[in-house]
Amino acid sequence: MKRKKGALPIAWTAAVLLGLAAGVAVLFLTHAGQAAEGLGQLLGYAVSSVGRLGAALRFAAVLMLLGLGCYVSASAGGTALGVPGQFIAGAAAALLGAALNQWGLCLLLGAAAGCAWGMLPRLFRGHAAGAAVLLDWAAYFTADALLAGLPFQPGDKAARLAAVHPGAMPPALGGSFVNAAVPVALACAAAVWFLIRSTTLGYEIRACALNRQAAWNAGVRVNQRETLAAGLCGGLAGLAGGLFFLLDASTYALSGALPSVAFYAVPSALLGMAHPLAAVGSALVVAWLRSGQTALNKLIGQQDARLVAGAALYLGALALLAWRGMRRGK
Amino acid sequence: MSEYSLEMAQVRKRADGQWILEDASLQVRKGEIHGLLGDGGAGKTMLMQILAGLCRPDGCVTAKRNGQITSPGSGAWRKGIGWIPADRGLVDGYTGYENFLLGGRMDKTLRQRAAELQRRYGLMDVPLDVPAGRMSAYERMQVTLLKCLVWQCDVLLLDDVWRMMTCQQKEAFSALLQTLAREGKTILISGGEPRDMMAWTDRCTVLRDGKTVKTVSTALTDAASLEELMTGTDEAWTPDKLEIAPGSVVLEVRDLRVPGPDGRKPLINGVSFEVRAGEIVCLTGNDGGGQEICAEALMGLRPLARGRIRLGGKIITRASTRDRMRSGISYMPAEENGLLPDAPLSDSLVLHRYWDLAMQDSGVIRKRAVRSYAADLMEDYEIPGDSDSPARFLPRQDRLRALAARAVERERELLIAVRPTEGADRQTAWEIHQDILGLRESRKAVLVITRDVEEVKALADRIFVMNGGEIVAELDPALTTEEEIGLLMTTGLRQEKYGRMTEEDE
Repeated sequence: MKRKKGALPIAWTAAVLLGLAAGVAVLFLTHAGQAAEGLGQLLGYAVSSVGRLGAALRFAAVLMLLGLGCYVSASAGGTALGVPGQFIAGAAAALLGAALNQWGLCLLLGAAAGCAWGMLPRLFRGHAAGAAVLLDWAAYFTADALLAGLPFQPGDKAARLAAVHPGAMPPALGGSFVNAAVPVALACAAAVWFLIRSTTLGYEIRACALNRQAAWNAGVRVNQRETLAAGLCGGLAGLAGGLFFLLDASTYALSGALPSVAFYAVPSALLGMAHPLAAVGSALVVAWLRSGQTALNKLIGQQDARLVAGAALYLGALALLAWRGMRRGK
Repeated sequence: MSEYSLEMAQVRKRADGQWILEDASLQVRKGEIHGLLGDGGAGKTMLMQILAGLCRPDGCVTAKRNGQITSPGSGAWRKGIGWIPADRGLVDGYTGYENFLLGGRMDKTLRQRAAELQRRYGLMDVPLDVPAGRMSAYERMQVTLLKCLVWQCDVLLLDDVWRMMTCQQKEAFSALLQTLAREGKTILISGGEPRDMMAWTDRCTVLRDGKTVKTVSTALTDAASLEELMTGTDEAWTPDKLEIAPGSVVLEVRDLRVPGPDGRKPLINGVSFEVRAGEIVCLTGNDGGGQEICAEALMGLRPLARGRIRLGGKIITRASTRDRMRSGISYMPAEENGLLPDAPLSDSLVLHRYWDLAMQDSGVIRKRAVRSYAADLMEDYEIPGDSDSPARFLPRQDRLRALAARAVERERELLIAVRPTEGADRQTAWEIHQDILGLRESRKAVLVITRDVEEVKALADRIFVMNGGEIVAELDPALTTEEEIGLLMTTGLRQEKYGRMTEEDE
């Protein structure tokens, strides 16, 4: 029996379409009178102006990095449990490094902090999952405490950061709507794809997930490779955290931002966990729907708009998960 | 009232894209010992799991329990059925008594009933206060059986329990089953050899390629006929072993000691032996005897507390696993520990040489070279299918062939093979044995780690028996019976000859 090569793209597309259909169904059921207008806004708002398209792409870049982190973690058999903590650690490090006034350095600091936060739970060996959850909370409170003394504070948003440390913000490319964050995320996707699918290191990381004992018997240093994958996942999540808060965060109080990002990041990661390209595509779809949801907020209210977007995103992600589960069980 | 306790007709079951059972039928009478015989991959374990209610069939024309039509796997079906697998029947961290509670209810009289049953069936030696993880495989199986008796199961399904028993244990266990059958228990036992079935069972159902071939009364047949029914041929599948004088020492192991976890008793202690060119040495023992730990230590997978390993005159005691492979050791782990089930088969085939310069360039895998190598290997060793298909979609026999092909194709100085034919049918086992004997003829050294005494007898030029992490005997296969090997494996009695050798060494 041979697996069909095009099965994943077809399943991914079907899952996205199924999710969209579910969102549209919810929209029709809850607001039948405004459904047509709502649908137009949901799908068309992101491309209705260059500014909105740019904002959607910036958010997509963050989601791409989170999805790639989850992909790396899944490749090594991990669960990506500590990603929120790594995201926050990366954000905090990037914001603290804003004083350097170098956006590249800020992002590197974010990636390094996320990487360290990702590797930390591995020190606890058998209790890595519990440690990852505890470290999420540790990152959350430590970051809030550390950021309290910064010159740019909640309320003034990115404008204040731009005024205090303008060099810390990733610039728009050549004055266009495409921000530097987008090529950074795409470059990471290409690097991750190459690393996991084409190098001996990636082969070793995948072998650990596919049969840990067989990898060990082949002389692969299993613990080291799993720790490296956890660090890579953390690094990507930390980079995402840095980008998110240096770009256009609505607040520097991390406690407010995390649930909002997680709402979109979870389905994006689930949809993109199977392949780096899926991570890129999922991030674009999720960011596109998130942009449409902001328009829906005004039309049908924030709660109902979230319900519509949630149905679209989560049902699509769950459909893909179910497909992968069935395929594995066959 | 029906004379049958269990009846199933035309059972079908598909897994991993293959039909494991296509047309299996079985009728087990009340109070009989019924054998389920078949070659590796015939579908015995799957049928047993379906009978135990652990998985549901994809199709089944008739399913009756005590003459009543009952849905397989339902509560009514499972009531009174005791499942005794070869291993993994117990939770490692629980004691025997604690394991009794799994699937049963809290009962104050449990210990008392267990003690009564132990006295009645002569199972006083079964350690019920010890965590299952510290028991031998045979003890675990006995505890599982005792658990079924405590919970008053009237049908006992024993799956492939033979492979963990020595000749002496088989005799004692056979007597116990006869007693249980006389008391009215229905016993279905799978696996084993035709001669075991002849000695143990009243009737025997033979499976081949997922189909029931025939049910026969063992009083009216013989082992050769059963063998023929199993394989569908009268071929003997005896490996051709030539007389070869061993050459120089290839592997020299001296005083190997592997520390136990948390500084407890060492896993292996004072192990010394040699393997010469053109020689097959078998390291055998019961589960927990230490022979597989020894193989892992030789491959550099276990830290050593003491000892020295020399390969072709070069000390490799501290070399990494990869360096040992580069130095000329080929490793064939047991099937479950050797392949990457969800990755393309080509990934599994290069697992022990992906670091080779032919397969990678500066850390980048040469995908074309990997595919071409895998395709050539599959063609040479007649492994059907596509190298891009996941390994788990291959039948088990082909997976074993793939593992053997990966290990023997480069004809390195030393092959270490762990349970190379476990689960193999007659033909596959013969093919793998021929590959191993081919290495011997090419003057390579081979170390086989197995608990299959017949395999030991078929391959070995010298036999080392391990028990409790130590070598207790060195035997000449021409002068040793299977019974003697079994006795040394279970009792751990140190053979006089080996004892003297150890003293001289020291």
